[in-house]
Amino acid sequence: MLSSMILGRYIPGDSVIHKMDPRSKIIMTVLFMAIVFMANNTLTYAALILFVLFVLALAKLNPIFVIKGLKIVFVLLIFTFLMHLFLTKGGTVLIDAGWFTIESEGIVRGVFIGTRLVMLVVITTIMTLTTSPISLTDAIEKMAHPLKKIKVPVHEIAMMMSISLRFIPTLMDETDKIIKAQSSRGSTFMTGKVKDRIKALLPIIIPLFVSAFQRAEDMAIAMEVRGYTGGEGRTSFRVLKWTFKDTLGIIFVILFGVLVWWLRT
Amino acid sequence: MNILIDDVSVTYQPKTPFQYHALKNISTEFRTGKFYGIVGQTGSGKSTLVQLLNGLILPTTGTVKIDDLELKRRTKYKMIHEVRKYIGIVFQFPEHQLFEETVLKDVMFGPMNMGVSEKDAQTRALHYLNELHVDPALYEKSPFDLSGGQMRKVALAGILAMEPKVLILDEPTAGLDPSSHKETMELFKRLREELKLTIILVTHDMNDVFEYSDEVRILEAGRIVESGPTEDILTDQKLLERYSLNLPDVVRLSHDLIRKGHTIDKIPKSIDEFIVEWRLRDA
Repeated sequence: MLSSMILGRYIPGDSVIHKMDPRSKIIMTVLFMAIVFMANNTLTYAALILFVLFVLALAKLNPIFVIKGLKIVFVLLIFTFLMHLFLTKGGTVLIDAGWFTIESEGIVRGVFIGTRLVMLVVITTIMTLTTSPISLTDAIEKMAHPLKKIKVPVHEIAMMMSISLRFIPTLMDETDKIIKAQSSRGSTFMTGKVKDRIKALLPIIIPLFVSAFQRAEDMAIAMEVRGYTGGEGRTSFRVLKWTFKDTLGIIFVILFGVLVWWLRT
Repeated sequence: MNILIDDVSVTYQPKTPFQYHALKNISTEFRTGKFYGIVGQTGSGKSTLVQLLNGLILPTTGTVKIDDLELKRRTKYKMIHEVRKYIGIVFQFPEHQLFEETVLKDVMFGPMNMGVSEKDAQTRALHYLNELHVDPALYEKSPFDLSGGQMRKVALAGILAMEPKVLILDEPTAGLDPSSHKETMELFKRLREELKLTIILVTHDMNDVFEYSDEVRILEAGRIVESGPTEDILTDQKLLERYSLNLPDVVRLSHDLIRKGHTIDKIPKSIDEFIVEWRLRDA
């Protein structure tokens, strides 16, 4: 059910992209997202697609696997496309059914915006697929460090992020276990009327909450006894290292941005 | 109820980088009224096997036959629901599945899902709670106010109240103190005799398997590598070592004593039994 979902998942690997500094990956992703919004004609959109395919190849990820894993996003994609199809006017009228018309500009816009959406999702997915959640939060903590000057609790926020990321798989497993235990007791939340299904969620949610709170308490105690006092004076076990390939990567993305700027109309 | 597993394979997340073959072409049989022990290293496929019997996981290929009910790759939910009437699973730490407002209601949850009337479900719940020696003063309390041991008993009563014909136990004694451990295992033994249950016990505890089971299945890397009567398999040190399993304590002790020249005709089922017999011998 949830098994093929890859949003936010991490797959260990040894590609160039995997080995890059998470900070440079975040910067490159943000840059690329800005570039995506510069594209406005067929040529620039084609360039975006080629660029993403190139990055996928560098990360040694199978495009088909990534597309399959993003099925959930396609609902949104189709919705966006249909909105443009029916609501954007301009160009030649292709179908005129009286109460609605489909015009060529609608199709073009629909395809462009759809591509834009897919590019944004795929590039961020590449980032999470190739970067472990822990190094991602490390990177965010490092990059947000200057905010400490204006009393933003950067370390605490990063800590909260890494704890919640850390517990996503645990809670998923827990949910799976409880679902199985309740289904073997004949709970029928997969079939029947909507009302019954919602009612059948209770036997899953209640034990899940109970165990989540229990876990949180255990965790708090474990941190306490190990003398956790927050970020002051803490050193890090994993030291982030900025290398030449990170600089190179960012330059490459900027150059690509220049290219897109030059190609746009 | 006879369970027949015919050439079953289970693959998790096929055609992705996470693809994993949990079971590979397994064929075996579980007969009415017997007590089976399933042992194997962590990750050998034990828990996949038990979930298969309950329709929680469907075979990727092959069939599971439970008398005339069949579970296959695309079996409909109705059929699975039917199977669950007859096959009850007690998962590891079953107390984590409690959710109702009161102990009594929680025990009634299973039977009512299976279409038993509220009145009958209550009768059953009272019966099995009593059977498990849960204090009647607790029946109207919230299950979350009970102690760990009590919670486990309530969860167990919840499964028994469904009156399954086959009871699958996945590490039922994990985290229990020695006396509760003994009490729980004795309870299963008694239930089996009283209710003519088939019991399938999945565990790492070789002592329990030796003491209670009639037959053993050893799993390794998704295959059943040994199956046969408990006293044959669990006394064979060479064979167990091949699968990194330990001899039951009482067997090891008996072997040591035999090597030292003592005669032991039949290895007792447990250390307790051994001590009793040894004392009789001296007397």
